[in-house]
Order: sequence, then C-alpha cells, then structure tokens
Amino acid sequence: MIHTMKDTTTSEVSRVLIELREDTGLVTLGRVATLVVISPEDHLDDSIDVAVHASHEHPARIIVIVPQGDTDRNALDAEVRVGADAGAGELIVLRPSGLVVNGMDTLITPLLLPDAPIVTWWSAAPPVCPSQDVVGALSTRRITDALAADDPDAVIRRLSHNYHPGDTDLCWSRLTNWRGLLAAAYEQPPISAPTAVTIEGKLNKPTVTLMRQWLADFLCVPVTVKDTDGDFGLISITLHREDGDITLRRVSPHTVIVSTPGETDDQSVTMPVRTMHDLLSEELRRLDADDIYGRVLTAAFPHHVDVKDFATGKPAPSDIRVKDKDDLIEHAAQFSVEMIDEAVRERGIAHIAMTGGRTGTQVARRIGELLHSTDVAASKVHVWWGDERFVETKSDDRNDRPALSALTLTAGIPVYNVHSMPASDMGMELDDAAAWYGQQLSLLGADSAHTEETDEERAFFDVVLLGMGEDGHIASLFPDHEDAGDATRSAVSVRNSPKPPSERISLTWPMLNAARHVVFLVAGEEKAEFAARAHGDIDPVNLPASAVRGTVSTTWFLDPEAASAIEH
Amino acid sequence: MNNPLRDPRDRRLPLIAGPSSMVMFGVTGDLAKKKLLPAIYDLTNRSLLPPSFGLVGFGRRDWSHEDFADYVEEAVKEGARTGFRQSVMDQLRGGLRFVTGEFDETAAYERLTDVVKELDETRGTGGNHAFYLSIPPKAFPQVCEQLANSGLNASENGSWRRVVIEKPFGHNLESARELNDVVEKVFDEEDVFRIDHYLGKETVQNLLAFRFANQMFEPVWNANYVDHVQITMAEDIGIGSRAGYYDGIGTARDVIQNHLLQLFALTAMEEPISFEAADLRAEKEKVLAAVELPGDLATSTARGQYVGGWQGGQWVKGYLEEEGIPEDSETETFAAMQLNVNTRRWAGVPFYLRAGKRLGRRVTEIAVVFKSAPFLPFNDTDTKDLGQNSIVIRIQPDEGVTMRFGSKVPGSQMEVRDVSMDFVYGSSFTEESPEAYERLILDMLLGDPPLFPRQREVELSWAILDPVTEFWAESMPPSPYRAGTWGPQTAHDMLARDGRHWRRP
Repeated sequence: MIHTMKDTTTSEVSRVLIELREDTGLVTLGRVATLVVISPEDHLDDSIDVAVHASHEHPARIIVIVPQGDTDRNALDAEVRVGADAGAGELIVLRPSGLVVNGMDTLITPLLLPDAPIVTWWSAAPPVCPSQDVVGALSTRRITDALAADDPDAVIRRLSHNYHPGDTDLCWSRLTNWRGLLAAAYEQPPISAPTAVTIEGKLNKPTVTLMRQWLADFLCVPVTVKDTDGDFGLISITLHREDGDITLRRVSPHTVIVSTPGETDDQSVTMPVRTMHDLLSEELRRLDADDIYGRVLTAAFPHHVDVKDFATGKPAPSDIRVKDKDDLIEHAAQFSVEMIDEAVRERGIAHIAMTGGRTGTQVARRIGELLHSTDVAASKVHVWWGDERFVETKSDDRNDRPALSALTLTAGIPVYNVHSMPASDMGMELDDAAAWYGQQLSLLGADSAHTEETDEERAFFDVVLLGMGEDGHIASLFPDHEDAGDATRSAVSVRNSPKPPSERISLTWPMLNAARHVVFLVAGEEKAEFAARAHGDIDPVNLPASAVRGTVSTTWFLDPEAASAIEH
Repeated sequence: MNNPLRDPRDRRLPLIAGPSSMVMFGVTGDLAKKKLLPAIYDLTNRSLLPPSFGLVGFGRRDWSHEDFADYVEEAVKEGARTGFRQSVMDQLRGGLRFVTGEFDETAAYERLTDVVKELDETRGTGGNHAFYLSIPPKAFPQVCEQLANSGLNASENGSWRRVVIEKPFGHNLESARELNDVVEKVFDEEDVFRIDHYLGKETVQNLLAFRFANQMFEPVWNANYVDHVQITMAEDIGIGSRAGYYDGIGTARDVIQNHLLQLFALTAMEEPISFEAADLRAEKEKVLAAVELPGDLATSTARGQYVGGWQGGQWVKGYLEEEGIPEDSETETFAAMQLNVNTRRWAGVPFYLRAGKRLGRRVTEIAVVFKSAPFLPFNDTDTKDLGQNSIVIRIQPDEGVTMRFGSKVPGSQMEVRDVSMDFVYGSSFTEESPEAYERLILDMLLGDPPLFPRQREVELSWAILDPVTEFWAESMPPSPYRAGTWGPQTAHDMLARDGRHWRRP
C-alpha cells in the first residue's frame, strides 16, 4: 500500500504511519533498526529495491531522503509504503525541497524508531565526512560506497582521513568472500607462512587498495600490486610461499580458481560478484564499529594530503591594475558577472563565493546591481561565502549581512539560493555549523571538487572572490594556524582567529581551489608586501594567498598602492 | 596453528571449514536425501566449505561417480534452501565419489580407502575425513569394525578423522553403553560427534543468549518466582513411514530422551563459566544428574496412543491401523512426565515434559509459568481474567519469545486482563536462518563441539528415562486419545492433581 502526501510535515507522516498500522494490523513488529537512505532521484528505484531486500533479513523502518534540486518551493512531499511495497517493515520516502533541505536532521527525528540504532546509507556519492554529516552524526553506522562516486580513489582517500568508528564502505564488504577464501587458503596444507603477496588488479581501485593494505598489515609481508586492466577490479591474489604459491584468480563473474602447489588439481569455487543486496545485508548484520576496517582504511592512506597540491599545476595568476579602489570594485564586479553569465549560459547554473571586508562587501553589492541591470538569469545563481564570523545573525561583524539585500532584493537571486553560513544564534555549535555548511555544499554537488586533479570539470564554483589580509590570509585560513590545514572537508570551524571575532567558519583548501575563476581583491599600501610575495611560490602555511588558484584563471585586481611592491 | 588473517575482532570474516571430505553411509536414506545433501549444497553456496571439499557416498547401489552426482543434484534441487545454481553444483560435483559395497564387505572398504587417498591427492583434502553414519544403529558394529580394519579411522600427522552418529543413541542406558563401546573402540571420544539437530536450531541457541546475556530474566529464573515449567514438543502428523523404527521405541525414547531433555537442561542449568564445550557440558551434566522422578510414576506420568478420527478436515488412521504396526502394539505416541530438580534454584518447581504425535498442532516450546502475585490490591472481580505471568520460548515453528502479563483494560473501571508481548524471531532477524544441519555439519568440520552432546549426557538422560519406560512396560499401557487433541485425559489429570493445567500452545 502506498500513501502519497504532498506539501506535508513529518509529524503528519508519523500520524499516517500509525493510522496505517492500525488499519492493516501488526505489520510493523520487531524492527531492529532505522535505515536512512540518502538517494538522488535518479537512483531512487534501485536504492529502494536494495533497502527493501536488506530489510527482509534485518527488518527496519526505511526512511529514504531524496533531496530535490533547486526549486523555489519550500516544501516536503512524502510517501508512506507498508505491506508488500515495503519489505519487512515500513518505508517512507521524503522529498524535501527548497529550504526544507536545510534541516535534514530535524526532518527525520520524529520518524526514527525509539531506542533502535540508526544506520545511514548513501546510495550515491558519499559525503565528504560521513560522521559530520547532519544525518550521519545521528547514526551509529554510516555506510558509504566509494564506487558510486566519480572518482572512487579520491573518495576512499577522503573517507580514510575522515574515518570515524561506525563508518564502513561497501568496498570493504565486496572483499569479504575474497578474504574468507584467503584465510582458508592460508590454512591449506602444507602450512607455511607466505613470504610475499602479489595482487593483480586495477591500481588505486578502492577494493584493491584495501585488500593490499589488509594483507600487508596482517601478514606483515611485502604486497605488490600489478596494475592490470581487466573485467574485474580485483583479478587475482597470489600468496608466495616456500612450499609453492597459492593463487586465487577470478575467471568469471561467478567463479574463482584456486591453484595450490603439488599435484592437486586447480579447484573452481563459485564466488559470484556480490550484488548490492548482498553487500547491504552484510553491513546491517553488524551495528557496531568494524575495527578491522578502520585499521585497514586509515593505514591505507597514511600521508596527509599536501594542501599545496590543490593549487599546483593550474594556470599562473595574472594581474589587473586599476587606477583606484572604486575602479577595482567596478572591474572585479564586471568580471564576476561576465563569468556568471557565461556559466549560466553554458551549464545552466552558476556558483559564486563572496568575501567579506569593506572591498568585498562593495563588490558583492555591485554584482547585485549589475545582475539587476543586465539580462543574466539571476534565478540560476547560487551565492556562497568563503568565510563567516560565527556571531549573531544581526551582528555588524557578519560578512553576509551588508550584501544580502543587494543580492536578493536588487539582483533578484532567490533567497534559497543565497547560502549564508550559520550564525551563532541559530542553535548550532561552531563545529556543527561548519559541518552543516559543508553539507549544503555537498547537496549541490560540491563533493566532486575534493580532488587534487586540476581539470576544469572538477570545479564547483565559477567565481571565488577573495580579499587578502595584511598577514596574507584569505577567507579564514590564517598563516600557520592549526585550523587551516584541513584538506578533507568542505568547511571547517576556526578558533583563536588572530583577528577578532575569534570564532569563524571557513571554506577549506580543496573547496576554495575548486573554482574556475579566482578573483583577488586587494587595495591599500599595507597589503603591498604580501601581494608581491603571494606572486611567488605556493606556500599555504606561511602565505595562504599564494595557494588558491582557479582551474581557468586567477586574477589579482590591484589598486596602485597594493601593486607597488610587485616587480614588473 | 595461528592464522594471522583471522583476527577475533574481524567478525565479518567467514569461518570456512578446512580442507576435508565427508564419507556418508546411508546416503540413499530419507535423512540424507532431504536434509544432509541439501545442507552440504547450501554450505557450498554460502562459500563455507573449502573448495577442495569431497563427498563420498557409500552404499549398496551399483552406481558410478556420475550416477551418484546426478542423485545428489536431484536431492539438492528438491531440498536446497538457498536456491539452485548450476555453477555451485558443478563445484560440488568435482568432489563427489561413490563406492559400492555392503557394510560388511572388506573389499569395499579397500576401495573406499583408495577413493579417500585419491581425494587427498587430487583435491587436497589433506587426510581430513569425517564418516557420517546415517544408518540404523545395528549396523554400527560392522561399519566401525571395517573402518578400523582398513585403517580409515586412523589419522596421521595433524589431520583428523571424525565420526558422526545420529540418534537414537541406544534405547536404554545399557544399549547406549554398548553402542558407545563399539564406536569408541574405533574413534576417540573427542572425535565422536553425536548429532541432535535440535541443538543446531537458532532458537535453542537463543535460549542461552536469552538467559545469560540479559539481566532482567535471570533474577526471576528460580523457585522464588517460577511456579512450574512446561516443555512441549507436539507434532500434528502420525508416524508416517517410520513404522519399522517407531514401533517398540515410542515417543519417550524417540524425542524425550534427547530433544526434550536437552531443552530441559538448557532451561534449568546454572550459568556456564564460558561457552566452551567442556564448560557448557559440565552445567548440563550437573542439572541432568540432579533430576529426580516423583515417587508415584502412575500419577506423575502419562502415556497415550492416538486413535483414528477426523483431524483438521481429513480422516486419519489410528496408530494401530498404521501400516506395519501390530494390532496389539503398546508403543506410546504420547508421553508426558514430571521431573523434579534437586537444586536450590529449582527445589519444588516441577518441570512437565510432554511430546507426542497427532496432537493439536506442530509446536515446540518452553513455557516458564510464574507464581501468582502474593497479594493483589484489587477486588477479586477486577482480576478474574488475570492468569499467571509467563515467558514462552517458541522453538518451532514461528520462533520467538512471548511474555504474558496483566494489563488494565481501557475504560473507567479497573479491570485487569492478560495480554501478550511478542518477539517474533522471523521478523526481528533473518528469514534466512540456516538449517540446523548446515550449522552442525560445519561445526563438525571445524571441530567445534559445543553443540554436540557427549556420551555422559546421553547416559544421564537414559538414567532419567529408564525407570519411566520400565514402569510403563510393566504396569501402564497407553491410554487412547483422539487424533488432533492435546493427548489423553490422563495427561490432563496429571497436572490437574497439582492444581495446574497444560498451556494450549
């Protein structure tokens, strides 16, 4: 039975659930967990199918959240399914749109089963940091699938750096049968410890990476990966032993051949490539943290990403010298609007990150005016901020406040496209607020930006506007500051800022660098020295302004004073 | 041997049996066809058997390996739980062999020795072989003797040989000892695996979790709070084609000696210090040894035999009309008895056991019935619908746990009535819980013994049952009961005398 509700609330959904239960009898007994599925609309049927299948083995209340793309409707549509349409529990599909998306945690809270554990599964690309995701933070188990992302290697790397007990990735469950077979092969007589291991498979594929790490970690022998492109990610594993090698080789989607030393024949083992149904069911069997996975995953990527890499290899910055500050504002705003226009024409959407400060605010206002006076489709423009002071909404310290009316009222950008960072009076702690902002970015597809690759397609922002502090800081990434090093999340909290107010939220290196066009707005003599130095080597630690570059262009708009120290 | 890939925290990693084979005697029998062969396929399908696994059939038929493989495939197609896949079957087929011979034919065991050796060489089964005796006990001496003569029972450097035997483990204490002597002459005690498939059931194992993983039940699990315990194993079918085996054995020896007394032991035993086989066994043996039968067996036991009639919409035969049953048979098809347990925990709490065929419906359950509250601050009329609280552990079908307690009826009056709170295994967990035989065969191949009773338990159980069956043979013929009812009047009288009544399961 499917019950559809338009323009509703979760308490209404909750009421309907109880009603349906009373009508149809005891269909909802004995559920062991709430399974929250985050799925895009185009994955929805598959996701539901897999979740319903898993619920046969682990009866659960399934809540599928399908965030709706940009729309001017702030509403919640829902479906409640019970009986044959819902597996062994009940299924709720929530389609939040517009601003409703902003509160995903409170959206599902009334629907969670009392006491039962919460498991969240991202059926498409995983969030940047599952345990900091607003829904993920509520969950005891967070299930991601790196293979569902465009760049699985980058994603698993990120998941590794952001690992928190309770996270697992389906790439790990894809290996369970292999691992069982290997553990059994180890026990094959004559028993002797392997001296080395060779894996044939696709280098940097998460399954291969995790397998390599698991074997290296537990056998304590060298493990070599032979990069091989085949029909399967993981093709073969050979345990080299003094008494002869044991090889497991996948020869078909159903079969693995085990070759052992001596006269024994090769044996074929039926080991079908695991379906999503198998994988999710296996995950739900354990609702506690998988320590072994955590150990293997975190050991697989021991080195921190060098934040320098996000800016390296991109076109060199160029300068535009203007005659004074007003000229700077005009030129920078015009340039930005041109780029916005181009983005909307080419891709149907434009993302711009604003900056604070006096110059930044004036540029933002001017952009608003220009959008109003040109025929750019303002409704397609999304506005973000590179950083924000974590103070009350009405505080004069806010970066967004002085620009808001120009962007919405004057320019006509829809309110729900203007993504202000949370204020301190909105009921969120600083860390949660940063995570929340990261999630807003992620909802609109910013996660694909988290890569050290530099091609244009990876860019999320069309324009990132940046001011530069007298110490060379940009956004709220300060020189030699402990909160400035994060390279795995999209937005971070910053404490002990050298400039008041001390608590802030800032975009991170990967996010700021995920831009087609980076625009620096620098005016004043006091900035001359650092402006000059920022034209040199990329040095994110000492000189943050040197380490942000666009995939297409990086342009410094300088007034004569600010440009005074730059050699021609 | 320590396998570095097996970390105890790595609970995903499946336990796959090591290289081994199983030689099955009685492979054409009903049990093999309906349960054992499908279970082996299901284990293969779940990737829990080693790729090298070999299965050797031994029987009279003049079959080639191929014929045997076809027979196995047919049995698997009919009985497999996990869905038939040709590729899995083909993997299994590679290790299937058949040896034709009589149980006492020396030459056949020589051929068997060759086949087993060939499996070691071509499949790498590593000298690990299990002998599954799915045959009548009277054939045990021949088979065991021949296995010993051909040296098949002897393992060499680090490999193992195991023997699996099915109930009945004798028909009284004396015969159980004789049977055991035969087997233990050839195999060591720790290599003998007695299969009681009830112990492989999820719900029976859950009994341990229920009692020892929870805090809220153990404090009331004693004579202070429990009034009595009822353990029921009822079948709605008759003896079917088992006449030859059943007549002369009867329900008490068929199921009470093993299944019901095992359930009793798990319900009544103290907490084991660990779930290691030896510790678990120690507690079961203690409680079995503490059992005492009531003085007057005539009033504390009941014995019945079903007579024909309409049951559930069809006419069924009485026991004496079943094919192959002598007209004057005094074999019981219903047995009930009271056990007392001489421990501080259970003194004064009777355990009532009953089992039978052609009863009301198919059900196995353990009901722990609590004493009534000593004082009720209500009017008598308010609580006239209030019974005794109880916890019922349902073993099959519809596995789960039910609690019954009083609750106020909605409305302006104070009125208390019994309600049930239900935990249904099938809906809280998997509908795919493995068959008991899958679990037991795998445990046997892994050499994991907690779920297999040892000889001492078998002997203690017979020691409990022997006085009853002897008394029955001398002076208590079975009372007739109508098919489809809950046993003879004597069974109801037995509890009525104590002021109690059987639950209707």
